[in-house]
Amino acid sequence: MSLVELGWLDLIGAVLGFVFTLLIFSYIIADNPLFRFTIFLFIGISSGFVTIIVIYNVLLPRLVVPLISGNQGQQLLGLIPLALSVLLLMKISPRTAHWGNSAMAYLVGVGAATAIGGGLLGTLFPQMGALINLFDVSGIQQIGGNLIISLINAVIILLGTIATLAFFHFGIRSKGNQTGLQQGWIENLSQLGRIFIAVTFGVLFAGVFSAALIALVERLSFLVDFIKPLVTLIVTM
Amino acid sequence: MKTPVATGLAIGVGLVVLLGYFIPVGILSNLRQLLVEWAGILAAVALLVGIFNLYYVHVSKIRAGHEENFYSYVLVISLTATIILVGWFGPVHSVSRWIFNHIQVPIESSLMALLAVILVYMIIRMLRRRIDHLSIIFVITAVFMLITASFFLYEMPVLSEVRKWIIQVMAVAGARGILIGIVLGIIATGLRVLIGTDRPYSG
Amino acid sequence: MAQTAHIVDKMTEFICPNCGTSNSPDQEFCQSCHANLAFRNTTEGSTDNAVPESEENQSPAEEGYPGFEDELIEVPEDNNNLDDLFKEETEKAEIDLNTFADSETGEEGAISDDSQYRDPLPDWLIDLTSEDVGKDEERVLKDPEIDEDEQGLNNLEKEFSAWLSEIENDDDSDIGEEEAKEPVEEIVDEPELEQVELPEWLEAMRPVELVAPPLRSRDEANELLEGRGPLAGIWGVLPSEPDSAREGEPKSASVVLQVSENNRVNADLLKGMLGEKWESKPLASSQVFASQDYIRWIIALILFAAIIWALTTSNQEQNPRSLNTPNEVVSVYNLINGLTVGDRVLVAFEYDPGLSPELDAAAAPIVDHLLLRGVYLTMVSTSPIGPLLGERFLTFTQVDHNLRTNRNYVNLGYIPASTAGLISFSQNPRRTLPFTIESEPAWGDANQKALLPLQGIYQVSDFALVVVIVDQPEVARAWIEQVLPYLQAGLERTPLVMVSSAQAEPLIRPYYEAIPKQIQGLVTGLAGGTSYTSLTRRDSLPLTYWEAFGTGLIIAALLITIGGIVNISISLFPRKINDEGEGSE
Repeated sequence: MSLVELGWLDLIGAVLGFVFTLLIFSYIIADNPLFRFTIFLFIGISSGFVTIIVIYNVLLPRLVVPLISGNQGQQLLGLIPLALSVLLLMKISPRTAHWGNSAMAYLVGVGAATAIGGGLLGTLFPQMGALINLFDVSGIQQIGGNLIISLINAVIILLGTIATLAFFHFGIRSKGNQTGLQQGWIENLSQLGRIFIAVTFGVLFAGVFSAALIALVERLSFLVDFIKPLVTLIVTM
Repeated sequence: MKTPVATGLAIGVGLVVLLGYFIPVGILSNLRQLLVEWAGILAAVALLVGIFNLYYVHVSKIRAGHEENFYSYVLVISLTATIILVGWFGPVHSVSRWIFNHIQVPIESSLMALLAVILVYMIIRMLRRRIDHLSIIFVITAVFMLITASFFLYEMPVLSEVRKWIIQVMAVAGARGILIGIVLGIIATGLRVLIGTDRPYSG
Repeated sequence: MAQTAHIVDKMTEFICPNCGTSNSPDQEFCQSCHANLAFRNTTEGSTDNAVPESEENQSPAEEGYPGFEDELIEVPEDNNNLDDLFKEETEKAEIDLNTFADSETGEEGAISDDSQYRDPLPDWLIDLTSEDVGKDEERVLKDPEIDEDEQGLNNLEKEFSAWLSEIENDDDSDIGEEEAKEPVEEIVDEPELEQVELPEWLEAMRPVELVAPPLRSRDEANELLEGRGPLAGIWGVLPSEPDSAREGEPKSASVVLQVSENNRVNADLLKGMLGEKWESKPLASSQVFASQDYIRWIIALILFAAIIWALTTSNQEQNPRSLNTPNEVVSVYNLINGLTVGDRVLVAFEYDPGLSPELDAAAAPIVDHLLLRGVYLTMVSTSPIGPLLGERFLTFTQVDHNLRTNRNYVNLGYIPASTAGLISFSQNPRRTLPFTIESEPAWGDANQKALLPLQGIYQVSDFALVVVIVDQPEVARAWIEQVLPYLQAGLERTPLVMVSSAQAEPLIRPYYEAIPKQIQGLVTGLAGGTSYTSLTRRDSLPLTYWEAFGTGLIIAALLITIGGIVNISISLFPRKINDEGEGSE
C-alpha cells in the first residue's frame, strides 16, 4: 500500500515508523541520545501493553470475576489465589517483601515440577529413544532410504550426541601442573564433541543471521517504499 | 512467612504437580489442575510486580534528580500513556493497534535488523582475536549455510546435499546432545528445589 | 650529661628530653624530633610512637619496641603534689648514664654517652658496670633466691612501689625483700664522660655502638632495645618477656605517612632516575571514532546498498515453482490438505514483534492455506504481546479472506505461566481462558452457545491441528513437553506442526527427526515459507523479500570470508606496538 492510499492517521503512523527506524539505525554510526530515547519509549510502551493484557486477560476474568459473580464454591476457592496474590504483591516493598516468599515458593515449586516432568517425559525419554530407533533396520527399510547410508548417519548422530554430552558434562580442564582428571578416551570424546558443537553453533549463527537479515530487508523495504513516492513527487515537480 | 512454611509449600505443591505426570488419577489430576491454574494467576501478578518495580525505579530517579533522568521521564510518560490509552480503549481497539503497529513493531524490527550488521562485524572481529580449529569450523559452517540458503531453492546438486547432511545429521547430533544436557541440568536443578536444598524464594 | 626530664612548668611549656625543644604542654609529640612526650603525665593513648631516625635522635622509641615510655609512671595531671613528688624522686633516682656508681665500692664508672635512656638505671645495673662486676655476678648467682632478672625486676618494683606509696601517702607496705630503695649514689653531672673498662661478658653483650657515639646502622635500627630485666639497655637481644606481656598503652595506628630520611633519599633517587617521565602526561584525547567504527560503517554501507539495490531491481513476479521442497514442509502441506471444512485449528503466536518480518512471511502461506480449507482458527499465546501480534498478522497478511473476529477466528489471548499455563490450557481450556481478548465470554454456558470457532472444544485434543509459530527453542520445547502428551491422548491423535524461525530451527529439528516424530511438520523461516508458496502456488509475502534476502546472504558471506582472510593474514604477521594505545580494539 503506497503512502497516497493511507489515511492521515496511518500516514502519521508511517512517518513515525520511518523516523523510529532511522533513529534505531543511527546506532550503527554511534550510540546517541536519540537512539536511547527510542529504546526507553519502546520499553515504556511494551510494559504498558503487558500490564493491560495481564489485567484484562488474566486477573479480571480468573481472579476478580469468580470472586464477584461465581458461586459459593468458586468464591471460597478464589480466596486462596487472592491471598497468594496479595502476599506476592508485598514483594513490591522491601519491608514487606519477606511476606511474599510463600507465593514465590508456590510458583517455584510448580515451575520445578513442570520442568522435571516435561523434561523427562517430553524430551529425555523420547530423544534417547530416537537415538536407539535410528538403528531400527525395519524402520529404515519402510521409509525406503539407503540402509548403509542411514546406518552410517545413525552412527554419526549417536557418536555426536554422546560426544557433545561428554564435552558438557565430563569436561575437567587441567590447571597448571595438575593434570586433568579425565581419562584419555573421555578427553578425546569431548574433543570430538567440540567439533559437533562448533558445527551446530555455525548452523545456529546462520539461522540467527537469516532472521536478522529478513528484518533488515523488511525495514529497508519499508524505507524504500516510504521514500520512493516522495522522490517520484520531487522528480516530477 | 518463615522459610519452613515456604519450603513446605514449594515441596508440597511441586510433588503434587510432578506426580500428576506419572499418575493421572482423577483426584490428583483435579488437584493438579487447580494448582496450575492458581500458578497462572500468580505468574500474572508477578509480571505486574515487575512492571511496578520498573515504574518505581524510574520515578525515584526522577525525584532524585539524576543527571540522565530525561530517559526516565520518557519511560514513565510512555508507560503511563499506554496504560491509560490501551486500558481505556481495550487491547485490540484500533487506537491500541495503531500504537502497536506503528511504534512498537517498527522499533523491535529495527533492533532485529541492526543485529544483522552487528553479527557480521562480530564474526569478523572474532577471527581477528581467536583463531583455532574450532573457530575455523564454526565460520566455515556459518558461511556455507549462508551461501547455500540463498541458492538452496535452485538445487545445486552437491551443495544442497551437503547442506542437508549438515542440518539433518551433524547439527541434529550436536543439538540433541545440547537438548539432553539442558534437560538433565533442569532435572537436577528442579530436584534440588523439590527436596528443599535450593530455596531461591527465600529472602 | 644527664638525660632527665625537666618538668619546668607543665602549664606553659615542656622541654623535650631528646632534643631539648620546648613544646606546649598539650603536645604529645615533640615538634622537632617527634619524640613521644607521653611519659609526661598523660593517660591518653599516644598517637605516634615512631621517631624519625637521625643521629641526633637517640631515642629508644623504635617501632615495635615498647620504649622507655613503658617504664615511666603515669601521673595524673591534676595532682600537683604528684608533680613535685615526681620531680623529687627523679632527682633522687637520677643516674648519670655515663657515670656508674658502685653502691658498695663507691667507684664510679662512666660509659659512653648513651642518650637513649631517660629513666634512671636500676641500682643492680649500676653495680654490674663496676670493676667488681664479677663479684657482683658471683654474688647474684650464688644467691639462690635471686637471679639476674628477678633482681632487676625487684629493684624496679621497689622504685615503682616507692613512688606509688608516696603518691598514696601510704606506708611502704609493698616493699620487697630488700629495702625500698638502696641508696643511690648521687649522680654527678659531668659534661664529658670517662670511658670505663667493661667486663668481658658485658662487652660481648653490648654492641660496639654503645661505646662510641652510636652510628645507627639499618640493621641496628631494626633491633630491639631491651628495657627490662638485667639486660636493659642492651640492643639486639631477645626480649625477656613477650611484647604481649608488656604493659603499655595500646598503640594507635598513625594516619600520617611516616617517611624516614632513608625513604626520602630513595624517593629522590627514583625521581631522578625517571627524569621527565616522572611528570604525569595528560591523557591523549580519545578519537571520536575508532577504527572498529569504520569497519562497522563499511559493513553496514555494503549490506544496505546491496539490499536496497535488490529491492529496487527485483522482479517480484518471479515465483520459484519447480523446486525441491523439504519433506517437513510437504508434511505440513499434506496435513492441512487433510483438514475438512469446519475443523477447528489452534494457532499459537509465540514470537516477538522483532521477528515478525520473518515469521509473518513464513506463516502467511500456511494460514492462507488453512483459511482456504475453511477451518476456524483459535489464537492463543504464552507471550503477553502474542495476541496483538496475531491480530496484526491476520490484518496484514490475510486481507483477502475478510476475516471477522469471533466468526472466522477467535483470539483467546494470553496464557500465563508458560509451562504451567500450557498444562492448564491443555487439560481445561475453558477454565484457563474463559474470555476472549475483547473480554467476551468465549465458551458459552447453558443459555448461550460457545463462539463458533470454539464449539465442540473441551480439551486441546479436540482441535484438528495445532500450529505453533515460534521463534525460541525453549517455547517450542514447552509446547512439545506439556501439550503434546494431551494431543496424543485423544482417540485421533492431533498433529502438532511448527513454523519456526531459522534461529530456533537447529534445536527444534531433533523433535522432528525423532523416531517416532514428536512434531509432524516443520516450516523454517523465509525459505520454508517460500517453499510452501511453491506448493500452494499462491502469491504471498515471502516472495517480496526473497531476492533481497538472497542477495543479503551472499554479500554477508563474502564480507565474512574477506574479513576473515584479512584478519587471519594480519594475525600471522607480528603486530607492531601501538603507541596511541588503540590496541587491537
